[in-house]
Amino acid sequence: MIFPSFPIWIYTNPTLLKLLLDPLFINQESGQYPNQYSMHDLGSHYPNATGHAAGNDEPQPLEECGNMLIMTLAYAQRAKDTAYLTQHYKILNQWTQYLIAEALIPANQISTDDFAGPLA
Amino acid sequence: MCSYTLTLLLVSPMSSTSLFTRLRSLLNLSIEWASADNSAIAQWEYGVAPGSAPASTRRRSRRRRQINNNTDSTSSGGIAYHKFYRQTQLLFSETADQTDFGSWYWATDNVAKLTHQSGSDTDVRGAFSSNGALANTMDTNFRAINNKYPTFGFAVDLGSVSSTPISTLFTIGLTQEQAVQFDGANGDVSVPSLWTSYYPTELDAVRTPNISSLHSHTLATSQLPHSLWWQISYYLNLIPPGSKRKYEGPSSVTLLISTVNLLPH
Repeated sequence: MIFPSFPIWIYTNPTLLKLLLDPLFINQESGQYPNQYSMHDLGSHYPNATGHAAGNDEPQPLEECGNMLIMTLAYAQRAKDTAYLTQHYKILNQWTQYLIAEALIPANQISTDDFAGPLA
Repeated sequence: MCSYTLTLLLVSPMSSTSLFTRLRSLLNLSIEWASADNSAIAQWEYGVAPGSAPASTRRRSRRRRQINNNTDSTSSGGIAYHKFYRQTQLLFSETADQTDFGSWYWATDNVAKLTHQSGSDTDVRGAFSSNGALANTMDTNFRAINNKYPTFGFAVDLGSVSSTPISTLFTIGLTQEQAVQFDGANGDVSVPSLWTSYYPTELDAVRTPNISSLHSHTLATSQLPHSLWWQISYYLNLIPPGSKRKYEGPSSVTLLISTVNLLPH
């Protein structure tokens, strides 16, 4: 949901995008999300952003890893905030490694257009 | 980030036929905003508070422009508000994707020609249909939402309306002290709503945004290439000046609704 909307945040105020990304970093860098790829959401139902300790959120592994890298870089460039990249380098690299290993021949999975169903 | 849930509703009728007439408008909210569980018991109140609370010291004050709109609008009249909510608050809970906690505010400038009423939907709208005004009374029978659907009305007598719009500003707000639960660095914590960082009370958060805040944000949004404004038709009760005369009043009513970032700077 954030990725399809992020052009409006980047255009109007990049800090808004950072505010959307921060909780995702906080939760996943704490080690409370067990998967190597990026999580899809912080909670199945608003207002409970209680995470997914079992790692069983709606799986969009390649989508979300790609989204986080693209959005984080977009924010850092627009806001001239390279410190943000340094701060989150470890997990950004983790997601990058996942993409390197998995993106060339994707497994059957859904994308952000989850209504379209899984594709391989 | 978006936990300052407040919407300004600007009602700006004008007459496209250049006929001078007497326009009285009714806007009302139903208790159904308070919960999607129609069997839930609700409670409500009515009050008048001074306009414009001072924000907390974290941000510098924005210089406010004086905008003249409804000619009876004076800041000394303050803000009139209906407040309504579930009697039993269910923190961090929703029914059918609608929140079950927090308080709803429905407010407008407390001008001389404003009347208000709370009561069943038929009573409130019936009073306006019969009299062109509300009774300035409050229903004290707190009850289930679906028990004659308590309704909260404001009626404004705008007098003559020409091709120059006369604006009345309304506020719809939901105030929740705690906004969400978040699984942070050390487990689940509750996160307060953003307005609590700027205002000491929820009423302060509701009564501060005014027409000059709307205009300053209108300027900002109008600079976007694709306007975020949209015009919608809204339900307004309009009654003719005389009960037996055919209605010949304003033939176009445009409402602009904008949800804006209303934090003070």
